Amino acid sequence: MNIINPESCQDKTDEELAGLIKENTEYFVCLMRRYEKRLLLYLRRLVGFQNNEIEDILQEAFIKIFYNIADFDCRLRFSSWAYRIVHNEAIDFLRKRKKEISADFSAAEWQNLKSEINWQQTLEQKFDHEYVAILLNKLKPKYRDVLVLKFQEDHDYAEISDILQKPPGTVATLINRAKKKLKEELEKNNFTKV
Amino acid sequence: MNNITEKVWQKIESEKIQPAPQKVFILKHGFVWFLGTVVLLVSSLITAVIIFFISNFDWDIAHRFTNSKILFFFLALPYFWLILLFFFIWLFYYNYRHTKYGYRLNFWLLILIFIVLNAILGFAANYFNFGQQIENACGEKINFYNHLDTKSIIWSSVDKGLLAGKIFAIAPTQISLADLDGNVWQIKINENSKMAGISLNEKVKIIGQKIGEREFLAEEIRPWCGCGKCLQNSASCSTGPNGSFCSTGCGH
Repeated sequence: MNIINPESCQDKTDEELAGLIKENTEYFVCLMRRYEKRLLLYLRRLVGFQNNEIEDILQEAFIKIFYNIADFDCRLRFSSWAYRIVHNEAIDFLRKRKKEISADFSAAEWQNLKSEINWQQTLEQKFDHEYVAILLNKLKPKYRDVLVLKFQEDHDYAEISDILQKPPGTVATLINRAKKKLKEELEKNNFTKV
Repeated sequence: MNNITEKVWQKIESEKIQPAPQKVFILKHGFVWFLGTVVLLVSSLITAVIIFFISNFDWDIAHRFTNSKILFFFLALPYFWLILLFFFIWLFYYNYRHTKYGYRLNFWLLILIFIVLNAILGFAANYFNFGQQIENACGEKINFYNHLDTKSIIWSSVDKGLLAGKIFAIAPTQISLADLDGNVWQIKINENSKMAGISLNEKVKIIGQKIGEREFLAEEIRPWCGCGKCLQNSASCSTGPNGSFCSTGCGH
């Protein structure tokens, strides 16, 4: 297999690589290398499935990105566009398989969680804790999506707007509501503010 | 090469997958914009019909239904067309959301833009009589339209002295009329009856009273096009052997 040298892609932006694919499709390999780990992590945070299922979703998403590359518009960031396709692919997967994102919680797990999270701080800072993913599963998908993108994936409002295809104002409202819901979820499970 | 990257690239090579050509996307996005334009134009025609209805309200019959003109306004609104307009607003919104950057615009701003564009085009279409023509065509071509159209329902209230239909015979003191449901009525005319210049096959509205089984005494006969106001203007009326005749004053 004659694949383009990874070093030849290093000095190029994502958007430049996307443009070069029209001339040489092998540049797509560089984009996949750049995004594989990030997108896998995103999918894990978003849907929390087994590795093989997440990999299936990502493979299908990569094929779609490749097939639709001529539709990519440089007014968007490539990452936003790629995240959007991956997000939609994950939603389709959930719908087709009728799978629910669910996390089972035992009382002991909640007790562990309670002692490990300073939840007020995590809301103000980054959601970097693996337990938060479990809590997020209890929220509606629209709230979970924005929290994952904002606090775990570090996207700004404009990028989240482009990924979820919602107006920036709606994204801001959703994030505020999601934070409130998460607090309620914590309170419901007997978490107290530190 | 990473695991997934390798698998995907192998699949692309083995299945000879190629990126879709740009023209496919240009066509796709162009089609969405084309549909949006069609939706906007059709909704403007619907708005023209609504404007035509409202601007030709028969305010002088309001007292037969209610003492409040505001209540009569809400009673006589063309709900069939309004519901159709709301459907098209939704269609426009749905379509616009599927344009490439349609998601960026706030919902209410989008609706405001639609309403402004729709109102401008709707007034223009009504100015060129499209509202009246569409309304007339619907009344003639669509069987169930008379049961949905508020104006038809109001003018089928025989108990309130209102009757509408198409003239199919004219005699010196009597008119034969098929009402909006197809029932035949004999309309009596006397020297006190006021009439617009009526003719065979014309659709008319009649104010009067029921005097027998399928018999109606006409006090006033108006053209269907909603120009009842012209009959109150004595300058546009003249007296004939069988009552007063008035110019219809329809159109613009």
